[in-house]
Amino acid sequence: MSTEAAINLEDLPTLRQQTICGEKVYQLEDPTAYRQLCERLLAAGYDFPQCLSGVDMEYGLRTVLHLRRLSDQAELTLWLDVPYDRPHVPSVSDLWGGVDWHEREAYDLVGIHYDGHEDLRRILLEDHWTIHPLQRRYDTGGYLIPDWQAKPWPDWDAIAKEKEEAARKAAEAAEKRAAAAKAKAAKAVKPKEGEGGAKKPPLSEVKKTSDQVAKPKAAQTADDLTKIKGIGAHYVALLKEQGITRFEQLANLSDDEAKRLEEKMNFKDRIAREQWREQARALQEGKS
Amino acid sequence: MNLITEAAKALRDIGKGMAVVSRAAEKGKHTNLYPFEMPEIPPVSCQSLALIIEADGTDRCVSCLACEKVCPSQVITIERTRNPEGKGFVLERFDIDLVNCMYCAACVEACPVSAIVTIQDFELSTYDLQTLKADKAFLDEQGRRAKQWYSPKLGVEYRNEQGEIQVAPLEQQPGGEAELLKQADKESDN
Amino acid sequence: MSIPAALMTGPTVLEPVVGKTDEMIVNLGPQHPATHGVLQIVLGVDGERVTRAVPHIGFLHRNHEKIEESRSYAQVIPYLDRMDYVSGLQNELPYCLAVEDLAGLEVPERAKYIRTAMFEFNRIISHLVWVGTYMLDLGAITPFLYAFRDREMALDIIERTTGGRMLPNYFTFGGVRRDVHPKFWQDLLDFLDYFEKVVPEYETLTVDAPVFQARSVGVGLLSQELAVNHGISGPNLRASGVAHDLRKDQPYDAYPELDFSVITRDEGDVWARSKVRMDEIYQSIDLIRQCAELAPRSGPYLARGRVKIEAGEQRYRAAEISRGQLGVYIHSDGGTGPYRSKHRSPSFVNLQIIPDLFIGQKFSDVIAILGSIDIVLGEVDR
Ligand code: SF4
Ligand code: SF4
Repeated sequence: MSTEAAINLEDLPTLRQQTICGEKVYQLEDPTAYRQLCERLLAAGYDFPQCLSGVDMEYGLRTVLHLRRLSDQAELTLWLDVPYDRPHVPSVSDLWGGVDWHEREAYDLVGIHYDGHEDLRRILLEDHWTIHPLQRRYDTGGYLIPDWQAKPWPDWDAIAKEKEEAARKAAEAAEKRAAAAKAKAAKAVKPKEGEGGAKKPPLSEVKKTSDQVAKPKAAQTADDLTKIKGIGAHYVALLKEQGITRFEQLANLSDDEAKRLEEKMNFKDRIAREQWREQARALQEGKS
Repeated sequence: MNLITEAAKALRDIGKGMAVVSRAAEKGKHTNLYPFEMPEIPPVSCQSLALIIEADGTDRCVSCLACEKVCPSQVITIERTRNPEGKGFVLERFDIDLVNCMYCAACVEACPVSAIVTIQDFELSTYDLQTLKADKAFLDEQGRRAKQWYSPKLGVEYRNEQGEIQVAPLEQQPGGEAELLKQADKESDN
Repeated sequence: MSIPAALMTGPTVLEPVVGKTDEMIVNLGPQHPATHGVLQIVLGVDGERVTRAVPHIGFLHRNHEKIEESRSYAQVIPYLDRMDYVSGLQNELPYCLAVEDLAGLEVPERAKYIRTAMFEFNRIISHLVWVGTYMLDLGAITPFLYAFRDREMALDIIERTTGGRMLPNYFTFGGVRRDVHPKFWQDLLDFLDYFEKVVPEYETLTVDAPVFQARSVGVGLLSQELAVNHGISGPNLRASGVAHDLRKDQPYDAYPELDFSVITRDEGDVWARSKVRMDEIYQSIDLIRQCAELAPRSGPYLARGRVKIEAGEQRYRAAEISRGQLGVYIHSDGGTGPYRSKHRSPSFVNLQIIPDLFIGQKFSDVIAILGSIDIVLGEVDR
């Protein structure tokens, strides 16, 4: 731990520290600071490069570096976020030889450019590929998802504050619950079977009421699309993703729209072949 | 070490190696003459999938779509219609694309009534890939042909001579160990 | 020049340098049996010495990581088997550990022992494949036949339990998918009793054989610093004198209760790497025996629970598989499946070292060194 204290973190801009699921995370937005921090970490004994991954965060690209110190098995995670239009990150493959191919992979699949990397070219895909398939703007087939929009850059300060707030609230709630439980325990002088009997009914009641609330709401908004021949649960979910939950919407699809839908969801002219629109229309009339 | 001792050591070690080989040669053969000798395949082995039809000819499948939802490679296609008389659904179509299926048995695990099961028939090779895009008739036939099959809910089952479906004894079931121990405990208690 | 004109385009090609003697460019692979799959290494050779080496991978690339974006957490597991098809069970564990950590699932005691025993059992199988294929690379056919004879018996045991031979889909979050069959532990012990007598035979034919020693001692030296800096893991790292083993350093499942020590050797050459693997086979036998002794015979094999992971959670978990550190990085967005999962496969990282190991070596040692790293291309290319 003494080496930990020796790492100077003061003068690094945009550095945030947090602990996620037991892992210590240093979050950065400034590429130069990332490089500086890496050099200091190597000097502090983080000698074993475990993994480097690229992640498309939908507002930008993130490099995640996992390091390990073999002397005491301490682990560390580094995040560096860069925007889509400037996806440049300083390479650290000269510090740790082990991230060489990981950086090439992140360039290949996610599209992050590692400046200073000796041999930055595609590693898993063929050289003539033009896209970076792990970006979220491409679907599993490698086609552009229409209407895909990048999210705005998150306001990290606000998020940190929110998290704190949530943690505080959770702690408060836990305290309250603990206090309530204590009070209950104090009250409950009765033998155990009484307690078990008292516990069960509320549970089922809660379930019932939630069911009752949920049902009419669903009837207002969504129809049971599985009534249409050819639509299974899987397709219902797919259609829901496209915003289609009611017969009316299906029935009113124009030819163009239907075609686009089919392409998007890999239906292969099922809509026309199985006459979804006609069925939906009939069902709609039957309903109203 | 001079050359002679080195050569002597090498000869001795090579001799040891030859001794291993000759010993192995005595142990007999370890291969079997497939297809004349069939390998013994454990009942839980997942070589192919089948649909089970009860002794009275009805489908076990209740068209709940659980298997379709859980399949990682999304190769199951089920179509169903509401049963005009009475409850439930009528199965219209049950296709499994056995070419793209990866025999992970997730569907078998998800099925609430053990209608889809794993079987040991591994000889699925055909000249035409299209025959492996199995429809319901194909899967039913597999189920009818299978000597025994396995599903996590009901364990190993087989059809007896009368065509009735029976569950195999505990010793042959995976998980039977715990059950047997429980029984043994009870007996020792009594 | 022995390579066809079509390969002379693009950045994958080395331009020959004219030095004292003419440098020759030799293409090793992609369809060479000694590359254990489809790996291409473009070598520059000057006489008998290797001057340059450029590996090209990706011929088996399937992009599991993109597929996993659209799968639920449980649906990912069968895909993991297919990364390192020689030790399918081992691949599933780090992912399960990571998801268990994120979702806060506890694994029942009995499941822990089953998982550990299976994990070690798979290590034996994997090392057997390595013995067989590596000796085949070096020209000895006999060990290959013996290794596959014993591996077949071991695979039968896996099949009787999991239902699959190489792609078992057995581990899951909170335990294992189905209970072991009644004779499971007895099966394992019976096999080990037989197998323990056979391992010395392998040693006689490999690490103790003078022909093998002549080819391996002092060849392909990997220094400690280089190994650590390049993130090399597994037997390759331990053969260079670094006692790093995640089973000890970051114990998971039942390993904290088991008694074993990390096997290391200081030589760092091809022979040391082979010897470490041989010793690990003995170690695995011992570990499985301990598991069989300590494992509870009844109790739950699976703690069922809902996998619900909050948005923004992330976890990197690794386990020591037969080839080294297999890590999984999961980033969650609160959905039903991983937003991003990255697999750190040991072969992928270990393969990076080959230019450093090859350069300056004799051309005939190239295969000996490549085989000693023990790569599986399915895992390299994912
Ligand atoms: S075995 Fe797996 S891949 Fe095949 S149909 Fe069942 S769930 Fe799908
Ligand atoms: S899960 Fe079973 S019952 Fe449900 S549809 Fe599939 S096979 Fe039929």
